[in-house]
Amino acid sequence: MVRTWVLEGELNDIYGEFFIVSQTVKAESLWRDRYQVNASMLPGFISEHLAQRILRTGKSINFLRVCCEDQDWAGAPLVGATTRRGELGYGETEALEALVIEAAKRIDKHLIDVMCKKFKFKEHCLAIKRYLLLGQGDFIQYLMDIVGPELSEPANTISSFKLAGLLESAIRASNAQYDDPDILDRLRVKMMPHGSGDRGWDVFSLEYNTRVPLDTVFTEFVMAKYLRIFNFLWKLRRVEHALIGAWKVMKPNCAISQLLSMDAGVKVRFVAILRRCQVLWDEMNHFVTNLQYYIMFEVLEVSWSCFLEEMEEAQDLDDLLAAHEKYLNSIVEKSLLGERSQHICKTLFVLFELILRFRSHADRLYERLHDLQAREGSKSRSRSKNERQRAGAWVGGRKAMSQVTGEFIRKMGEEMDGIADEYSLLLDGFIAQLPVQQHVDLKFLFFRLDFTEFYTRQQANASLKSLQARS
Amino acid sequence: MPREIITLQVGQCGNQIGMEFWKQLCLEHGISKDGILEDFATQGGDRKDVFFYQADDEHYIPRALLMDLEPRVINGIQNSEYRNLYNHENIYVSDHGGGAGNNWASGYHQGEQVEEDIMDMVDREADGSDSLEGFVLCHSIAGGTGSGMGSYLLETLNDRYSKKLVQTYSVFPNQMETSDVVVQPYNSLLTLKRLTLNADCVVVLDNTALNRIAVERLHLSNPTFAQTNSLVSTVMSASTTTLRYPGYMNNDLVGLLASLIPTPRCHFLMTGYTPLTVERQANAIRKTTVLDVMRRLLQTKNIMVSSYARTKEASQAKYISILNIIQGEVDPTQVHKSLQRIRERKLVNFIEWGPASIQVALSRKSPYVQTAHRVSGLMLASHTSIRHLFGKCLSQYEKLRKKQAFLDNYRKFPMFADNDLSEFDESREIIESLVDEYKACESPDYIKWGIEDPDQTLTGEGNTSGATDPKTLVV
Repeated sequence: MVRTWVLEGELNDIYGEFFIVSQTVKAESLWRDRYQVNASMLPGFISEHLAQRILRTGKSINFLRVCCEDQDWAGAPLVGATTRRGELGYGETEALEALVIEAAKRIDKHLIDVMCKKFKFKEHCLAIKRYLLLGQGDFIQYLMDIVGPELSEPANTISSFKLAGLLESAIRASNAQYDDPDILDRLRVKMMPHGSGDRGWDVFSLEYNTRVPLDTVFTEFVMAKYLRIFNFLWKLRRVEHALIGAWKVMKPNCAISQLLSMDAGVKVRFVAILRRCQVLWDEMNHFVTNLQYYIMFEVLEVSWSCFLEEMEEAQDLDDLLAAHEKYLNSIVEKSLLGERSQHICKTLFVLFELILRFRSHADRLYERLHDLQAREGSKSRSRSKNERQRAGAWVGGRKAMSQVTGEFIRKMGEEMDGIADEYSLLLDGFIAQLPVQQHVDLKFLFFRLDFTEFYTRQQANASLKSLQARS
Repeated sequence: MPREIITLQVGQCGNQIGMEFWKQLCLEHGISKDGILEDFATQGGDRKDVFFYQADDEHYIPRALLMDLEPRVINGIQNSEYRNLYNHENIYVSDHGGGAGNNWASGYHQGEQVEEDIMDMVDREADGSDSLEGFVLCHSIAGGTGSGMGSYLLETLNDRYSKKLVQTYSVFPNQMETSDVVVQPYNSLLTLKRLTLNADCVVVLDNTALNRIAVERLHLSNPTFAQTNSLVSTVMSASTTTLRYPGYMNNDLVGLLASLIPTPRCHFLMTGYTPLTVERQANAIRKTTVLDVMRRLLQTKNIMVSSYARTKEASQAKYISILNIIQGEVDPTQVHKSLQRIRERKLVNFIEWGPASIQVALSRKSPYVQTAHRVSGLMLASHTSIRHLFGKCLSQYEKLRKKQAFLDNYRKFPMFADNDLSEFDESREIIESLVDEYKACESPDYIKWGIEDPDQTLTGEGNTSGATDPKTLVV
């Protein structure tokens, strides 16, 4: 019975005598759950290790036949089988072992080959890395550009059909267009279940359809993990996108020339508030970009190169599965999505929200500045160089305006203070939680954030101040 | 829908470095001198459409406009092997061909007069792109055309395309040689004003430093323009690699520049590149690891802007931002180790008024260009010591202005007519305040700089003290 099992992957055990039992399951869990070793039926001369090997060999054949629709497995050289044709006698453990090892080697190698060559395991992993883990930056950027406006709408009003169209155009607009059509075909938009108050941003995600037999590796459970990572990275990207958007309105040639012609009193107040806005922007941007760099280098790339190594070394499908699982888990853990990071992750999301609020605040501020400039500009252009003295006539009107503007600036300043205070509080909280995280690599994140020891210094100052206040 | 970038090459120097830049891009993307994709270059995974577009016959054409007021350099390009690369409609040479006589005012005035012709070209090129990201201007600040006409272009672009990025590669004159352009300080000052007000990012290419690097690092006893220009094209092409080979981050120009320029006025960048080679020169091949490359990039001798700072000032100078673009086969774990080493050794001094760090972008290398080095790196950095370069420009201007020398050439043009030299004074003021702002960035109190007690002057309320307390700024 062992023979038919390890050589042909058939289980004809009508009386339930064999130590391998089966149950009916769906295709994606065929590998994991269909066959098990029943320990109570295991004869004494077969070790646990050997039993596992026997199990895997038959399972592999079975898997090849059912999931991979592969007929070539039988064609692989039957070295072990030809050397000893006869039935195995009772107790011939060594012969049995030799047979099993021979058959196992052959099948394992063949299965790995089939997975890697015919089903392009590595290519799909890479595709997932590029699309679900945002490695294809230009594609993600266009996608964000064009779905952005759509996603600001309430989730229940968004047509996923339209999003699918936008996904298509993002592919065509970026270098993704040169990818294998089979791979692109598997990339879909997925809308997660949504509640009543949700916006498109909360529910949008990308999905990669791996199909049989690769779904043995990329099970629903695994894909759910990818989905979480995608959602995290996508959120991070959105925040980065928002900060870049804010920079565009305050970019050098917009900001500077506009201040020139301003009335000195208003100007100095604008300069003050803009400077604060820029410095706060810089701090937020520092945080977001360094988080991104950390994710890219310390998390994605490092995990990936580990995975590649292990993929090369994998002897059988179980090794491959384990390598992939390790890869995925390391990403989850290091990007603060692990179970024990829930708290810090929450802080992070609140920080993201705050940054988005800052962006709309900065937009409002600059919009006002541009308005003001447009009015001033039309005035100064109507005057010729030599008539500057006549400007005196405008002073009265200007005063009234500068009062309104002053009021506006005061209010904006207060709000900005609020955001700045809240930000530094949250960030302190975030940084304080970093060292207690389980994953050692998170210290890399802290290292990047505090590269110039800005935060260490700030904290030292704060504690010094509180000491002085007490004494 | 690529983020297209249109390159404007103005004047003799601008067209020369522009030409070198396109040569380099063609090499890296496997595009022939006629604009045809080589057979070996069809599977690159690179993005060509940011800088090129395809004509109906599949030719790759640079998104470039070539302008000059005298025909010599452009004629040279049109008679070279690359004559079929450019779109001939994109070439503008003035009818009279008399140049600008190294006079900023003449270049500016002529720019004004041919605005329509030139802006038609710009508009046509802009309309031809799906989502234009911005413009890159190549020019020199010392002559007449690149500086004067370039200045006029900057103002016009700022006006017409205010939402688009404007980046410049600006060549600063060699201070070590006595120039044949005596009015260089005037031209530089007037151009600097536009670079301060109307550009989003200025990559400073200092001919003094380029020359020094060619002599000291490349051991060329008498570097030619072609050789220093090849340094420039190396810098220009390296600084655009992340746009041309997309990866996880830094895939567009805004993203690249935003982090480098946190405060709008301090948008002048220095560059460094290592390891350097010039065409047909076999240098001793050194070991190149990420750490080696990053360390060398921080050495002043590799920086392409000369430092006029005195020792004491130099020790106070600080980096506002740094981006290292590392090209080649790199193990990502090396990056962290290198950063750690750099911090331990305190190799870099950053500003104190905000958090900062060395950003590192990893980028692919073109498969079609063979280099002897495994890893190479470009640094783009905003550093406060650049103020000394501007200080130098100012002091040279003062010297000339005090003597009232050569002003007549300028008075001939409308901007300075009737002996109205206020344009000079205004420019000087703006550059002085730029120098001050860079200086202020060296202090931890930058946030408060230039805001003289707004509470007191405006509302009559007192101001609380406290160095970094943001509350003092509330108005």
